[in-house]
Amino acid sequence: MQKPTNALPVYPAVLAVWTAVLSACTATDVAVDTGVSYDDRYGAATVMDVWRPAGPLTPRPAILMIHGGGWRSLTRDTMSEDAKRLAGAGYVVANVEYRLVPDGAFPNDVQDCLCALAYLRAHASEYGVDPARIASFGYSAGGHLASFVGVGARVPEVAPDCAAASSPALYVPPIAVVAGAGPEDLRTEPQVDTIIEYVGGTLEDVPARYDLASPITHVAPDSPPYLFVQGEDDWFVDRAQAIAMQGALDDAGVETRMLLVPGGGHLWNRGADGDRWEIPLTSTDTPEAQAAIVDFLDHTIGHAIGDAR
Amino acid sequence: MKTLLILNALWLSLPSIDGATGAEIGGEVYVPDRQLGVVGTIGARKSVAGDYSAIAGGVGVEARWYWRSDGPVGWFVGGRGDLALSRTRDVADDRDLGTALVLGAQGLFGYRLVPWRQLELTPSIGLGFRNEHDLSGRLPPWTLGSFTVGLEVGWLF
Repeated sequence: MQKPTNALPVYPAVLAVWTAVLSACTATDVAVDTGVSYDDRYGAATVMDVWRPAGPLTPRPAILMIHGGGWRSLTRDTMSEDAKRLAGAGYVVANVEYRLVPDGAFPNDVQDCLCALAYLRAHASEYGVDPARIASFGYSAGGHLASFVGVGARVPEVAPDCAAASSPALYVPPIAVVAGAGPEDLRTEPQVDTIIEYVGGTLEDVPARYDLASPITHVAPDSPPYLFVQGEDDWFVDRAQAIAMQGALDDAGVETRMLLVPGGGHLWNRGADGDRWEIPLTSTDTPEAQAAIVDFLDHTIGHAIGDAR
Repeated sequence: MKTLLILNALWLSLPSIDGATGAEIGGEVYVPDRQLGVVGTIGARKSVAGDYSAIAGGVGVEARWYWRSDGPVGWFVGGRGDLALSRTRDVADDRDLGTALVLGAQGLFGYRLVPWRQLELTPSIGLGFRNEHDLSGRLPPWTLGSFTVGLEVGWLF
């Protein structure tokens, strides 16, 4: 990260209200359980919204959705529209909150995400989830966490201690990862406060923690397939992060896809009017990325019961 | 009203050439009696790279009301509508992933300055929304709101 990703005063309440009004105008046949606690110890910091297609609770593929914000800001509300849309496409989507820095400094936020994953599996029948077909999907810091859950769920140092994670079988890695502009190698990130406070020291002081916190160090031949979505002109998370991770996965023989958005930034892209920047518009929310994401999910976790994988 | 048929400005939008992946051109007809500029734009660009390919193209119409009465310069407010299509392919598997139709609308506020001869620079900001439809039917439509920022460079006639 070249700049802290908590620099989001450009996303004022008026825009959130505007988006909510527009959302209400877009009818999608989905159901949602809001504020589901997956770890009672931390109150509202560890809840999730579970979005699913309306109708019978048949076992469906699911997505663990993780918001961004530099590990220290924003909420799951920033991903609600993505969750709603993917639920409308047939997936169950657990849009999670997790502890933020300082309480959520590494590895606490990773443990929260693993607890959410374990909770989703433990309560699969309540939400119509096929526990064997779960993907992780995150953007920015959420991309890092989605990636870490994908390759590092078995790392002993991040093993969750919540009630939901009563068995390691409940937090085995997801079988696919959609990583949107996520830092994959914290050792190569600029030493800004956001990184230092998240990892718990400078690279010089705590190099082993940087190794541990970097998904790229946990890549293995049995890592799940990845789709990377990345703006080519992202000033916050350089595309070199995704490219390095893709290279490591390729070397390990893992299937990957890379979608680069020419001229795309971290929070701005071109929308309907190709000559104007839309803010905020993440690379994962562009029409092309949406098509690639749902195609990737269909080919990894499937989109409904009985679908071929 | 005879000026209605005369093109009063022609420009290239700078964001459209970022990364040298496309271009969008626009023209404006100015109606002096009403201090009104009527704008049309058309453009196309390469919208993804990597293991995917996509071409996005679109057209837009815009109306601008200029505060000053002596020509299409200075502060203006306006409204704009856009229609865009984007088709995405998985290059690695040589598969078509579908086409998205995007409709956009926004309110605009901007300023046109003329720093040298008839060279014009027009930065503007806006608030709007876009409504996206996956024509393959795989994804439901959705609508997102956003701020917008634009900058055009052109020539006044």
